[in-house]
Amino acid sequence: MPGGSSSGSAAAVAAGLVPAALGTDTGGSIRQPAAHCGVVGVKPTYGRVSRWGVIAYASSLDQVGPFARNVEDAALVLGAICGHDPNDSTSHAEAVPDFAAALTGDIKGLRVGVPREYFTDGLDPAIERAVRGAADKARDLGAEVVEISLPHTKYAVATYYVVATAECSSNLARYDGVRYGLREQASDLAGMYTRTRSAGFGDEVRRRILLGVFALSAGYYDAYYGRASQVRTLIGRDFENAFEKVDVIFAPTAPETAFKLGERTDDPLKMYLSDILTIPVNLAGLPGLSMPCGTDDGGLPIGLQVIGRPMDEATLLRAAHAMEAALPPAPRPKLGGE
Amino acid sequence: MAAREYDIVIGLEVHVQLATRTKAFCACPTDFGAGENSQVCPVCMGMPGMLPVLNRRVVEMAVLLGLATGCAINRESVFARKNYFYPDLPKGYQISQYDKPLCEHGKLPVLIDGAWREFGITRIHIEEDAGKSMHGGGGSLIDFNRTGVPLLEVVSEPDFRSADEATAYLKTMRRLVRSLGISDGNMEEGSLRCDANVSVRPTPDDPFGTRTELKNINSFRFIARALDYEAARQWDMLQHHEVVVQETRLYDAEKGRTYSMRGKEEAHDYRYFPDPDLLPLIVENDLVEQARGALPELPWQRTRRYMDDLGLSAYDAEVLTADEELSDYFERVVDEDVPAKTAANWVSSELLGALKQRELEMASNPIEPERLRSLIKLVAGERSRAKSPRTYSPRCSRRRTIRRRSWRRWAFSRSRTKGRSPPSWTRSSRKARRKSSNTRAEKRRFSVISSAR
Repeated sequence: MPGGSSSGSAAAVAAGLVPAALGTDTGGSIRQPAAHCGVVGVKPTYGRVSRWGVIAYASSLDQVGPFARNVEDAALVLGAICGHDPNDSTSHAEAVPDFAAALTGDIKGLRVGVPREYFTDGLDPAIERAVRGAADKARDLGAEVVEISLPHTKYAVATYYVVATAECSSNLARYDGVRYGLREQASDLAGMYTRTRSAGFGDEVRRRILLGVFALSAGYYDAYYGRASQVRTLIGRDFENAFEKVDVIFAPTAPETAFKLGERTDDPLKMYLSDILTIPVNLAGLPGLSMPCGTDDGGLPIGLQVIGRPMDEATLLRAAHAMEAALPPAPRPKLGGE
Repeated sequence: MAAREYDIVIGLEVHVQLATRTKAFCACPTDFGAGENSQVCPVCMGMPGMLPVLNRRVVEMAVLLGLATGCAINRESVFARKNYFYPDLPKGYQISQYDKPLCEHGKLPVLIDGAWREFGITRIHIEEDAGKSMHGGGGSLIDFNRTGVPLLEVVSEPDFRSADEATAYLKTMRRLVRSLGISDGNMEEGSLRCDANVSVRPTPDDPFGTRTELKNINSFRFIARALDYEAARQWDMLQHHEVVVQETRLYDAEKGRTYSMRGKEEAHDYRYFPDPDLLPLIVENDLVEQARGALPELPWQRTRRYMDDLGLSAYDAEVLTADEELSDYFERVVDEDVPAKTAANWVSSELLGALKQRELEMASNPIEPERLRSLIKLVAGERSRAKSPRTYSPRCSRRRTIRRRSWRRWAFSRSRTKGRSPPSWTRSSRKARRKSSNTRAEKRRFSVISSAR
């Protein structure tokens, strides 16, 4: 499995079909497939790239970003897609720096934080080794590596699944069979809605819509959506505190390397938990990327996640670019016929 | 009116359709008269991937109304999604404001039977209109031209103790939005829509009774009837030891009764939450101060001035200020030789009577104020030449009739030859002319008001 929802783009880049591709990252859908496929994937700061034209899943988390085979290509594509768009009220007016020019190869004095909460029980030991090894290499390159704490990390998945599904339930309401797309016939309006939406959405989407509707319902709003919004603020504050001490954060992208097709679909909760390391970045609206960082025993790619300050993609990319030269390149996938 | 044996409590929710050139969250025009679904775009049609961008003019107009009604302008307010399914709501949610509205805690001064009253305004918030459904002919059709047109929802306190008070408030609100130039305030055409919360109780000392929400009372002609009917219905139920259910009811103007919108419509849980596509609305000081500077003389200020400074009766002051154009006209008639009281008499009885007889609206009044002023002076001259003013009155009835006929003939014919007015003043061409002559506010008209939800 190449990973989450933008994995087609990641696989196409990994296979060498295209030099770069775009994806959307709501809870890790750029970074996690980039990790699984051994490519670079960047989720920019929320508001850096216009969401105009992007089919919304969770509007306060969705962000467009590039996949590429190396950091420089990713920086070039990112520079091309960033910038203010008057059509997207949440897009930032801030000027876009020359990201490629920021790739100096120099990270001397850069302060790198390694969050202890990201190295938990469920983490594949091979991934932990690879990521800690990357931090050691950063130290060799002159960076200052310190352990940091992001104490609210454990609430991120629960928070995310309330916020994302609530927004999803509203964003997907327009697919109602009235103006376009599938329409199932029924004798009355409510029947048409029910039949159309039952037929048009798959199980996982229906599950998320129901979850979101519940979280926003009268009598439950405060306990779920309201609470989740508060915890989201706390998760953001964790990062703010951390970035007073460090310039970038190094962490694993995913707790495991790629799994086989059909291995996980029966247990949605386990599937949701595999996003645990990427979700906090979306909740906090921060820029993050995943880059190749060695392989596990089976030869599958491991992803190093680099997280930066809001609007500071330049430092993020500079760190990644310097690490790229120091880390082993990702294995090229064996394609049919080769 | 006969004394009621119970106390009515009414609160109003008034929707003001704003006369902006473009819609609230996209650049579609809001012109009246365009063909169905011709003023739509991917944004207001709720196409995938589309995003809303707030029209600044909407905020300016909302602040204007907020300041005029003495509201606190919240420097930070939040757009929320009101989620429900209906075919004329393309996104499946309406962008509105919920727990953080733009304006709060205002009041509207209303002149009732010569006395000033103040009715509380709980809040004013911005929202977008839905489309227009047309049912029948074996199916339903939807016109999305109205989708996304900006509305202000003005929620009153439950301050009205009679249908007449509620009506007077609504009329003042209409005058206000017209004088501010933010809406044409036309109820029949849907630019002003009204829902009412109604409850009854034995005496004013009792706690509020269970209320019902009355929808579709969109005409000054029957609003009082609808409210009185609903109050009487509730009182009758209570007298028969029945329980008033909190529900939404529709007023049927033809049958003159209200009926329950039982079922799905009332079970709505709108699942409001902050719209993540729109940042919190921050209203800067400059915008508020500019709006404050742009405030015209407000209708009640004008009414008061007519009473206090011009010495007009409350009745005359009210009649003359009921309509912005009429009042402007009146002020142009007054000068040092034509005192306000005289001008008021001429305008409110002679002129309005003549217009009414010809089925003309003030907007198409062909008589220049200067002409009326010179006429008043001529008549005054004739009067002063009469031997005794006292003997003038008894004799004048016949003379006045003659005079009235002749002045009208004179005024109308003269202006007609000047080509100022259209050749025929028939009822059928009234709307067209009103449209062409009203340049102050953009006109947007809808012949059918969709059933309110």
